[in-house]
Amino acid sequence: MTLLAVDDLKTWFTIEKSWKPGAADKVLKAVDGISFAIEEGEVLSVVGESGCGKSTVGRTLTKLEAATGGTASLSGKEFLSMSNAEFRPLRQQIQMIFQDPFASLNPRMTIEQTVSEPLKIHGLAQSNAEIRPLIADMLSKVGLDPRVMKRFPHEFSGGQRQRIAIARVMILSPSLIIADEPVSALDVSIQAQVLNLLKKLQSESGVAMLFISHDLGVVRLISDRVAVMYLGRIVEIGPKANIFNNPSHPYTQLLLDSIPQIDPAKRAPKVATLGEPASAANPPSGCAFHPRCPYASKLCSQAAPELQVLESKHQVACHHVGQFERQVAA
Amino acid sequence: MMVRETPILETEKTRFLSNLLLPFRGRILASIGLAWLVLMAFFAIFAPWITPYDPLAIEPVARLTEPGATHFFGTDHFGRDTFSRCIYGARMALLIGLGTVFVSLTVGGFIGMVSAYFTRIGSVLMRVVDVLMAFPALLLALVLMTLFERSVINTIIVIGIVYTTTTARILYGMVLKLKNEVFVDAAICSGVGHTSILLRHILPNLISPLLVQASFIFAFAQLQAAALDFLGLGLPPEIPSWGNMLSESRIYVTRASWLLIYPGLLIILSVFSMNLVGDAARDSLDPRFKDDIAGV
Amino acid sequence: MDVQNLSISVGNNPIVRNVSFSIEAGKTLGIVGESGCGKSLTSLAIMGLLEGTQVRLTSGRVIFEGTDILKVSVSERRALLGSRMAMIFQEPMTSLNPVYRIGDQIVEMILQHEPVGRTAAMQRAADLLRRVRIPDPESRLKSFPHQLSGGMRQRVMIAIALASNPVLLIADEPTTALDVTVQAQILDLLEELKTESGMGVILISHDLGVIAQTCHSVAVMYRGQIVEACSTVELFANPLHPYTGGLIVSIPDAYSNVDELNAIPGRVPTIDERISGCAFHPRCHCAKDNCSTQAPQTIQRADHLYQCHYPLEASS
Repeated sequence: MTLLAVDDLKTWFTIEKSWKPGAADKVLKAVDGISFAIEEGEVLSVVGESGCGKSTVGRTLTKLEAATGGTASLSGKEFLSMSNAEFRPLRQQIQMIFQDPFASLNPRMTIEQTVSEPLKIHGLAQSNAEIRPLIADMLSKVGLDPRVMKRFPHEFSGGQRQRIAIARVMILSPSLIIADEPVSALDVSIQAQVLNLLKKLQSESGVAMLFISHDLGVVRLISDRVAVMYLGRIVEIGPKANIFNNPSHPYTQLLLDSIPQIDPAKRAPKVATLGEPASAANPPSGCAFHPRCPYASKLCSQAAPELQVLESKHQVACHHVGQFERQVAA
Repeated sequence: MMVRETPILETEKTRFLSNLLLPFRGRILASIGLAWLVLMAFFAIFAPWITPYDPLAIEPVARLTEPGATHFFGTDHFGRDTFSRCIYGARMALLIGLGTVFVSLTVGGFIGMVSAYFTRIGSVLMRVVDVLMAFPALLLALVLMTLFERSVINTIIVIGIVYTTTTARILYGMVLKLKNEVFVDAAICSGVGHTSILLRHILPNLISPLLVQASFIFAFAQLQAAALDFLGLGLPPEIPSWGNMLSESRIYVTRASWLLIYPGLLIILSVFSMNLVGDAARDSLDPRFKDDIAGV
Repeated sequence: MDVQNLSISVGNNPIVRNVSFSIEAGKTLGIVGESGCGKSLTSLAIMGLLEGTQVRLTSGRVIFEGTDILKVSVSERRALLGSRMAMIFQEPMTSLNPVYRIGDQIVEMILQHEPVGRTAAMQRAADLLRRVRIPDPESRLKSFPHQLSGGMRQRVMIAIALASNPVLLIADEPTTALDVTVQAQILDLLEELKTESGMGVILISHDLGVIAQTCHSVAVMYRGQIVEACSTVELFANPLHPYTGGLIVSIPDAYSNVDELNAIPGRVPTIDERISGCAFHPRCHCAKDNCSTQAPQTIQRADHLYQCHYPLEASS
């Protein structure tokens, strides 16, 4: 069953107010018309480079940023148009994990206070006698000793803090978790632990997840489906197997080929990469990727391609899809 | 140690105390300043037991006595004991300082926090603060003082209002920064309401900078009060404050210079000490050094 | 350049212990490790950038072109380092002065090393930008740092580093702040420049993929010590130290389907933590009793150096 349905979501930021009355303000289209859906218990990853708007998608869906247009509904209930007060009870269902575990925990609150706060707010438990066992249980689930409850965040390492942040989210038993680069601030050995933990908790609880990441390795491990974003739009979306085995947008291919590989056998031949991502404040005309695309034609600079279905559930936004061969590593 | 954390409130009391004293480690001047302030507070609190004379007792025979064994700091033109008056003056200084800090931190803190958090209210409130800040502090205090009767409480309120504006400005900036912190976003996502975010999540993180700010306000309040007293607009003349003592005895400057030297020195010493303490506390707040080493 | 038994302390706290490695011209040495392992500190120490801090070099020699640069005076070392060695950092924005144009900053570097006029220096600055593949270098010279993208700024930093024609370039996490497509470009650029000029490169990174793709030899650091060092091919084919082995398998791979990662348990030790015996033993799956009491010595097997009582078998 569809849990989250996002339709034509737009989040624009005004970066320069116009002085002249009537003239248009300068806007940055961080998210410019994206649609996707997440099934119950499914993990959808959003990948892309910095500035592609992937984090803004997450922040808009938790109403940390105001949407400019479009709709989003959770279990059929539209929530983008709700006021903050109306939305508050729904926050129990949509929870968020942030990238930087050093910034996401209040330095002046003990672990117990941090984890118990959401419980109290949503009226799931009130007295300390009720709350303590719940927290202790949750802390051991995320791999922490429940006795650390009285400590402050600065006494913990990055990996441990991220576990605490996960505990704060999981204790509400949400139906959707938005995880914004939850492991990219962590050391490699710790990243693996936290990923395993997230994966385990996800499959045990059946919570759906919107996993935002720039790391395709991480994405391949955790997701069921993948959406690739470039300058505010989804350029390719589909089941994990399709994206990784048959990447069909030139940008997806470029991303995959750019990953430094340990195993020389898997290394892609040197790709001729053209330029750097344009700024979303000043996007190129037509297909935003065309200035960097080796297959770009005149059409690409004129018209923005729409997502077209390639196979069941695999969609690509490219004018020339299927008309070029990807050079695969020998 | 290079890798210590910035002072963070601990559950254990001992840790808390050592953290409070941390800024003074290795800073001789600031430590002397702190010691002086503690001494001053001690004198202020126990003034009735320490002073050899009643500060208001007039003794015409002994008027304008030079400092000596009977009167350490001499006497004034009414024969009142300057030493006793100085100690009672410390009491006034402490009262004015703490009172001003209380008024400016609560009112200014409230204005600053609310303005920064609710930007629409803030755009109005902060403009009022800006207008008030356009006046020189002393001028503003003078104007306000003329509207009120001379009394201790009114002096505190007036000086408090003057420093309310600075406090509001500073807090406005700090809250603007803090409300964009990720942990505030995280709290919003947990469903925490506005009041709770301000009081439980933002305010506790402002306590150390507020303490630092308080120390500077304390110092400036001394100067401001002394200036008002000197101009005859501060505390009622019968109250022994350092400013009043200066004001009353300024015509005797050639005949009895001790009348000006002692209270003057006391004002300078306490303001200077408070500034030194404030500087030390502010330096310990600054996380630059910690950030440097964290990148290793 | 040859680094022998370098040790660094902060206060009385040893952070880096007995680190030795050497680097030849035209080769790239990778130093890999997690946060707090001392990899950046080591490079800063070599560059003499730790003067006036609480960080002290307690022992060791850094031999560069025949002289021990730790023995010569600070000013001599500055002169030597300025002209023969250069360094680039993770965040190029903080290394560039935001109020000066790119061109002026490069020219300033050139004028420090060469007795040329301003116009000639400006010409050389444009050449340098061309060498780091910045399109339209003449107009880019007039840009301010904030007008450039992250990748462009890192290219400018590399251009500044090249201004002195260094024989050794130390790159401290040069691509960590960059996107993966831009990272690939910068790594390619470094490779090309190295081949062109024949300089040696020390590449410090936490990313094994970056190291594997660019370095000839690798030193793996853990808690201030080099726990394993050998050629890149050897390291990834036959890691001997359990930490290296653990790191390699804990990276999620975009090219294969895995359900669970083999994570190294425990946490990365902080620099002020003291661990008896082998620093890795609390997290090691091969650890036996003596690992917690006895620190392993550096053992050499062919060209492969490692510090472990119970190395992984070459086959696994």
